[in-house]
Amino acid sequence: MSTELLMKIRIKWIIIYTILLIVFILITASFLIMYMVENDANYSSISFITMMIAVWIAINLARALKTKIPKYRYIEVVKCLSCGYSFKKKPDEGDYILRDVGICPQCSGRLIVYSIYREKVE
Amino acid sequence: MTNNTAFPLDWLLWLVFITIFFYFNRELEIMRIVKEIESYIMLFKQIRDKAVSTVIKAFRKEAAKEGNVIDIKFLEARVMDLIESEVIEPVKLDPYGIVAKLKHLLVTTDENLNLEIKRIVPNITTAMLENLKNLIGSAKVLNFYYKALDHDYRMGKKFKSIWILYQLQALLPFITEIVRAVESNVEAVSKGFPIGDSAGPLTVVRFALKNGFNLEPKQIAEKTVLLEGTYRDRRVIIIKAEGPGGSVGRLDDAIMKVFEIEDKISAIVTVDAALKLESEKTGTIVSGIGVAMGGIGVEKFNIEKIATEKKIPLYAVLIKMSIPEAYATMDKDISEAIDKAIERIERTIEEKTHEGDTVLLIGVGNTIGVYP
Repeated sequence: MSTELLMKIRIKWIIIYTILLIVFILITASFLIMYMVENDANYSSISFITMMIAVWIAINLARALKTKIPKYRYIEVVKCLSCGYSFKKKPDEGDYILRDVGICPQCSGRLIVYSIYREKVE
Repeated sequence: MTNNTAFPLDWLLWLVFITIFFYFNRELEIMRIVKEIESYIMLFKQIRDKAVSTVIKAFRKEAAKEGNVIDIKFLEARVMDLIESEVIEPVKLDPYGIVAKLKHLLVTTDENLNLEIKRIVPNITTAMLENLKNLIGSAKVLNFYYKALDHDYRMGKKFKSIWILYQLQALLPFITEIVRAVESNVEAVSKGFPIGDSAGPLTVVRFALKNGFNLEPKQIAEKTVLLEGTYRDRRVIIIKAEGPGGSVGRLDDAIMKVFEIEDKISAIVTVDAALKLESEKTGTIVSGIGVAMGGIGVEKFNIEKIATEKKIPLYAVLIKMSIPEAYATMDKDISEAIDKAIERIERTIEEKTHEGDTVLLIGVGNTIGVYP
């Protein structure tokens, strides 16, 4: 739910920061070139300021890239009450613990939902 | 030679510059905080709206099962009425009898919600009824947090009080943690899977399964069931909320009924999820003395009262987890901790009781996704 929203916000800011970073790098470079050509100290001061802004944008971009939004997968463990045979599957909506899910293929015992949990996807 | 006439003017200009700088700095700070709070309010609103639409979807799904089509406008209005409804706390000036008053209010609220839901979907199953009640409860909490945050933000902005905004900004991470936890609860309940708080009921059910108890439940109180069996020559009576719907049962009523038919109880063992500290690992098992039970304390009070009257020792087994983990679908760490909790229960029963004794084992918590 809010994960999708956060993902959207993250992508939006990554795009904004990337564009801003490119723009400020270009501005800095152009002022540096102008300083080298005209040897005017004002250009070096302006390029220093724009460079600091570019560094600040780069830090924010790195922060946005580092932000991890957790993703989960759901797992259901089905177990035989007689022989202990078990397997994992994706749970269906409405599944619950101790629900009868059929007959064991190994011993024809009762198969039940033993546990349902979620785990983080790395 | 120094120019004496220019000296005070320079200072004056400098002072004006500093004053303007500080003023704008403060204004910029307010703007930054306001922007940050506004983004959180937007997030909370989206979460609230999504939860409301999940509730409406669940109602429509249930109605469709019965072959009914509900008018969306009517349904939205009814659901919003339920979400906006409030429970008024009883007067505490004279605290004598407050627990009974609170219990009466809780029962009335629950029964009222049952009636309201059944008015919309008359033939709903008990499990789905409980799940819908859970969903409405979660949407109610989300609605409250959104409105409370919005209110404080508007007050801060209205009086241009940076201090209200500072306080709000400082609290935002904690509020967001709760909101996101409740949000994941909406997701878990809509699917009907066990949540972290289901650890207590799940542990007692797995204990019963492991020790070959009769898993056919007996209804002992409203929304509460009883299982019976023996463990190491001790009679164990298990009490838990009736699943697989999202209910916490009426455990105190059930215990009182057990005492009406069974007088010689040697120990009461409660199993519940407990809040962990940041340094603690999820799924850590801790033993305790007393009744492990959350909520507003009505049931806990009644159980403590009866145990004190009958001088029955109270033992607890706690499964540690954070607030978000307790609300969300059960994590792998908690699921794996259930076996350790069963071992701790077995050890407690073996060490604290004797052969021939009767033990009351209570699985505390929301039993969503856990049968019986």
